[in-house]
Amino acid sequence: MTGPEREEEFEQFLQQRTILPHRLAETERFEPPAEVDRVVLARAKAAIHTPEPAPVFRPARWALPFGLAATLVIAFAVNLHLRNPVQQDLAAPGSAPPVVKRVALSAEDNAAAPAYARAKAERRVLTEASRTLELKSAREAVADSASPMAPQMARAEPESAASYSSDRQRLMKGNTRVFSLAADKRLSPEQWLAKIQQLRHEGKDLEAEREQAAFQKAYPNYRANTAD
Amino acid sequence: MSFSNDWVLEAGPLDWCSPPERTRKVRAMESEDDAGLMARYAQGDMRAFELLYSRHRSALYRYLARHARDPEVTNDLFQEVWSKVIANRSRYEPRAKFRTFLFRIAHNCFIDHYRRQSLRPKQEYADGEDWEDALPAPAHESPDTRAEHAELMVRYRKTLNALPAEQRDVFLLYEESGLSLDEIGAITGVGMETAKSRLRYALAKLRAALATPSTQSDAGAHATPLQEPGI
Repeated sequence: MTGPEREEEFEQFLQQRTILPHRLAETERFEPPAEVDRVVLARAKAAIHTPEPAPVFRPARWALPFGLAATLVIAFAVNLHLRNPVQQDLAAPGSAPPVVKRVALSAEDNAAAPAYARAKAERRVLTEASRTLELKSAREAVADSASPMAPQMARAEPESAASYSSDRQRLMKGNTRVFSLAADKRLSPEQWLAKIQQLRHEGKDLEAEREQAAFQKAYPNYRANTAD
Repeated sequence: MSFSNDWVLEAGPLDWCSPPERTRKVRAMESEDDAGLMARYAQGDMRAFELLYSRHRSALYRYLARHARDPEVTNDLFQEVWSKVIANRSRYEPRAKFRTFLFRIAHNCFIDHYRRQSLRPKQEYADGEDWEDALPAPAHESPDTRAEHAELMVRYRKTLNALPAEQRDVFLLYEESGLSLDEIGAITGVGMETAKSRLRYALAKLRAALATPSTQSDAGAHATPLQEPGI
């Protein structure tokens, strides 16, 4: 058999899809048995009436442990942040002290409060402010001691410390009420003198002398009357 | 295509139709392509599956029977293939022909079957007798004709069984499935030219066996098991 003949037979087979004679091809009688047909059709019918199982969602194995760990870490961080925000802010160098802000707010809030409560609040506020200033000055002193300008800054340190202490005393003094007759401008000269006489009668000579001096300073022309 | 078989047109969704209307609907369904029938079956139309089954049952059974050479194995594989089709009815996408989809499942089922069988001792059917001879023969043939045809068919089948598994697979797919060489190459995992070459070799051996009577009667009694694609 030559090549072209084989090629022709191959093409013929490709068209007919069988190499057997027609009659023999018809005898290729393999058919599925009726019982198999019934089984297959019964399965197909049962599958229609049985709903297909929905795909079950299966989370990854690492999802639960990872979620728990992440929740714990976040909860710990939030708790730590909420517990002491003031210390964290104070520890940060260069940032404005938040205590001062809180002081200002509380002072504003106390504007409508009674005088005694207001004075008490102001005293507490000033104490906190002074403590903050002390912390700040100490931090600056430590920072400056390491710099090349340390000697000059060290010389300036006592002055700033003295001014700071005097400021503090002045602030504290301003908040204490001083009751003095001289400060009470509602008294007339006669009433003031009567008070001085009363102090002398009571044996409070020092106070009487001080009041007398204050009276003479306030009313230098009242000498004639006192002579009476 | 014929509806003369007793297993088609059982009770189904067209029962409420009048007989002429039912006939018209069945004829309209008959002209529908396989993908459409599969989609209808996925929606619950049993009659669509019956029609689909009637179209492909014989070709699939012949392909499996000529591969397996055992009626029990053939029946089991046939049911397994259709069970997979039924199970995948919702996931089926008509990107390729339904026939390609069906024969790909059959091909894979056969590979799985040979893997399982390789672990067990091989069982010969009826003491070496070709099981196909046990099938009922057509009654209209005379005894002489039947004897002559039987001799030819024995030679043909034994030569077919003696073919290398890859060549036999391509040959049976081409003869029975009606697929193109491209599609057969896709099913078997090789290119079209490779499939064509295998088919050419198989055809040459079978023609030689049919042309020379009495020489190949005992040759090639043992078939080569089917290997995985690409081996």
